[in-house]
Amino acid sequence: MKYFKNKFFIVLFAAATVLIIFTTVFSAMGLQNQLKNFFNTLVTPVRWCVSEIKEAFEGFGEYFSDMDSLIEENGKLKEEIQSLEDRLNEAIIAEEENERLKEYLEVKRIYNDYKFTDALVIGHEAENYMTIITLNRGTGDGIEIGMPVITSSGVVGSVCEVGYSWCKVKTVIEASASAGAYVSRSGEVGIIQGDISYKESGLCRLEYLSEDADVEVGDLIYTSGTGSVYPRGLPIGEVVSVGVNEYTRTKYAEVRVFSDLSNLKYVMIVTDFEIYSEEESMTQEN
Amino acid sequence: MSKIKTVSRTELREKNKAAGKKLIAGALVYVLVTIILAVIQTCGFELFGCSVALILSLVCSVGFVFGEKEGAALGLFGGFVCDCLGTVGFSILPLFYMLCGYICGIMIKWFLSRNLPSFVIYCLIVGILREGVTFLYYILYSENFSFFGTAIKVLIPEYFAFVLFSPLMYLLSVYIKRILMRNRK
Repeated sequence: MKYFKNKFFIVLFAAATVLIIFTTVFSAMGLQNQLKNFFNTLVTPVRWCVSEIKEAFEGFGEYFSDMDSLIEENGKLKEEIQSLEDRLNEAIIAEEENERLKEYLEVKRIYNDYKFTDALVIGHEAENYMTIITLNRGTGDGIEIGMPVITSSGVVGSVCEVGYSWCKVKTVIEASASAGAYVSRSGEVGIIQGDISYKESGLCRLEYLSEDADVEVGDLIYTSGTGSVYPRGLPIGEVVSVGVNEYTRTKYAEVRVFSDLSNLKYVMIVTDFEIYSEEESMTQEN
Repeated sequence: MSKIKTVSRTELREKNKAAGKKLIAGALVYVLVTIILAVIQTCGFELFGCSVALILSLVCSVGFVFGEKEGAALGLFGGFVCDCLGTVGFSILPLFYMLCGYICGIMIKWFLSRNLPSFVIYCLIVGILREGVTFLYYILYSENFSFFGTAIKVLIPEYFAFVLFSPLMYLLSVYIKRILMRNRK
């Protein structure tokens, strides 16, 4: 107990008591804030230093503490990206199918008395304008050589070779292709033929027009049905220029085909139309 | 016969002056350290989600290392600084800290030895007293007082934070004492 009776402890205890009374009186007088403000102002530089150091350490610590959450968030975002990519792929497939079906419906709407099979272009000669294209239909789908191939814009060509699940189509601009055609405005009749010199330009020629044939630039060319390859009335193209063959003295017209042969994707194979039916009925009668 | 070293009055005066200067230097160092720790304590430094009683552990370490008078003096000053810089109004902290520092110094003379494990044992007891004061404070001022909630969220984390930081303050005080004693020699 001697330690609590010595002079130093008594003085200090009294000082602590006086201090408490003093601060209590100050608080009662409403001067507590003034006193606190005075001391806080004194230690402001120290407080600023400590805050700066604290922020530096917190930033350093956050680098590690946030790492787990960042890794987790990264994983979630990767999953989300994968899911969105899958959805995007599905959307692309749906869009392609939509295009194909639109094309199909359009052709059906225009040629509602024909029978069609839709087909996808799966190969072509590696040139700008396709002259021979490969489709994904064959004898297994009822395809035969000679069947016309069209799009909603117009004639593409006719089947020249066929396998079980594929067929090759000779387009109208192919050098060896030919089809009966007529000028819609004047009714002038001719033969649509491909030309090797036009291969890169995507044009074909309307040949064997008479010298005085009424053909002008801008005239529309349709199939005449001659030769039993194409039904009558299928659009082929538009006349872009007219000339005279210097050897035969016959007129010819350069025709740009309506079907975009540089960008073919979906086509329709005409599996049955009137001419076939007429020939069959004539055969039966005979 | 043993030789008795005689010291002249001048030499004695010089030695006392030097000792006094060292005492003042030591006091200033501790005033600065107290202010810095008080700012850290009130600046949002937290451990286990609660503030750490750095000043109290410093006061106890000074009482343990230097003696009861030094501990009491620093406790009085440290408690007052904590009250000034804290968000709560003025309280009995100066008296409480002063008693903690003084009793810590006495413990050395009664039954504790001056080493780290003894200091930690003393802090374990002081921590309980401190949490008792906090507990009273919550009873008086908290509107929705809940014993278990207060114990789990405040008292227990504060106690462990205080006990964990105490060895650091002890080592700091030992280091400062060595520097001051070295200079005295």
